Amino acid sequence: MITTVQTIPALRVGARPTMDHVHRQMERMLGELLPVAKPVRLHPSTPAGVLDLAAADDRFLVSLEVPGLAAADIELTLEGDLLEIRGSRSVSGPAGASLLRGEIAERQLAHTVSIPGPVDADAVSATLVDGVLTVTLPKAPVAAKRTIEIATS
Amino acid sequence: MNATPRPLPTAFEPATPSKERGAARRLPPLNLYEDSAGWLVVVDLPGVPHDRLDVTVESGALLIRGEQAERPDASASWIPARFERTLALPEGADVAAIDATLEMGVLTLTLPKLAAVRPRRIEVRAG
Repeated sequence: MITTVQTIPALRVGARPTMDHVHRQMERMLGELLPVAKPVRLHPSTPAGVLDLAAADDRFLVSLEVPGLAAADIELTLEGDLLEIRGSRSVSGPAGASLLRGEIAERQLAHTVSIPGPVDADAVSATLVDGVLTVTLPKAPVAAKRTIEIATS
Repeated sequence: MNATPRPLPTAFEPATPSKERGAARRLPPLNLYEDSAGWLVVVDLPGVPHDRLDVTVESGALLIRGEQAERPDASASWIPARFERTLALPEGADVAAIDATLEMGVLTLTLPKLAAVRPRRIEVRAG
């Protein structure tokens, strides 16, 4: 059973239909022309990667869109209940080519996710598939129920 | 290069609401480069597997459509994205020679220029 904990858009713009619609309009007005004379930024608020935090019975899952990043470009650290995801991406075309349109920004990735419960830090694992990073954090085993004796004098 | 502005083909205008089949439509960001050999298009499509990506050329336009794979472990508020982007093909693009690769959630398209529009060096003979 997976329950929702929180979904945090990495930037403030996620996949909101309204903004999407505005972009669409802008695109229609400007025309998607190829080639264009100068670099054009059509999407100043392009989603930089959607972050999702989910909780299952036995684990928490954090997923983040990181297109173009290899595992070696990403650094993951867990300190207490804070998961830090850091990375950097550089985008370049063929040598000597001119950039006609640049919407994919070179960027530094820095996310800190607060994990809403104790986890087994040694058992945390991560996968990177099709540009999506998924971190699995097994919950720490709950201490067994214990009956406490009351001393009598 | 003679770039005459052409209107965006209307054939690819969205005819369906943005949340068709429970997916959120997103315009994927792209970079476009040009050199003497042709154009290079780089498109971010995180979470889109090969079998959910569709690149078609129709009526002088390049249509890129991709859908994110389902994530059974995601939270209830996570919605798979449907990426869609249309690009008018430039004059002189060799449509038959377009090459596409998808790697790490990034689509790379190469559009070579037709030999007729590629810059040519003309040898000047001594008289």
